[in-house]
Amino acid sequence: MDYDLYDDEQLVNGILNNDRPLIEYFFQKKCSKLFSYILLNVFDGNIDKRELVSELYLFMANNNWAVFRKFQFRSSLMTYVSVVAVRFFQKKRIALIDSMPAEELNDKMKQAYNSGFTIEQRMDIHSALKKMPNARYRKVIEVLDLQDVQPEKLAKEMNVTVDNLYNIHRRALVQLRLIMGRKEDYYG
Amino acid sequence: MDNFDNFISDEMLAAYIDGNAIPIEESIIGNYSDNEELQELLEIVSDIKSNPELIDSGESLQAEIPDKLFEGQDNPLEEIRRNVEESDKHLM
Repeated sequence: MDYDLYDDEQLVNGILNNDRPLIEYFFQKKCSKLFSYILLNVFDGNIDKRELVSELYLFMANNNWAVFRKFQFRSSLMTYVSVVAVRFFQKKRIALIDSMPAEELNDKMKQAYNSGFTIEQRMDIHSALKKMPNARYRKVIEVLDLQDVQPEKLAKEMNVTVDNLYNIHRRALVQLRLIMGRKEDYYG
Repeated sequence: MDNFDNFISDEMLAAYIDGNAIPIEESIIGNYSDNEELQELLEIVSDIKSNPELIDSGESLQAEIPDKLFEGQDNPLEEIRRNVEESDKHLM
């Protein structure tokens, strides 16, 4: 069966009816890269991505697919699933940060700013920056990574907290990395 | 305003992002515009919507679907049948 041709209603009905091949298609084919992208944007490096995605699957299936029963087709299914996934991973991140010793957390944050790009990398980055669709992300990388401005100063200018700036910076690096088509994580 | 979980459902947020929220929902979400998690969510999902090629260039996780996903899931028709049987019992 060609599930690629299914509309949102058919997909939701299939999931609610426990159509196993359709559910496998939906999670493993249709949403796999989406969840991967969201994970990269919400978390930095050292996490077990597969474990977290499995937890997301179970969350969505919980209580007889309650997540899908609440969907009212006022948005596209992919927008809805993206919102559910981002919020789920944000809660996981809060739980993770709460359970992490403060020292370890500070080290991680410092590490995020010690990216130490080589001249060659900086040239690559300059050309990739021009292709970045999100202007805010572009600015954060230009200012923090290439001009080495203190995060506190930029946070004040952008009217965000330093914590929020760290999150924006992480998402900006994800986008930059995808545009450069490289597998390495700039967080090291 | 900090925690928006209790007031903004996933469904409402998704409708807002796709431009289908009703005015009262837009107003509620607007009240949380300073919330950093909400800002993060809107930024991530908007990027996904406007740049699908970014998603395609990413990695596929190939995470296995846990068997538990299918355990204890009820077929809705089965659920209706059980409810009818339950009602019948009360009538008898």
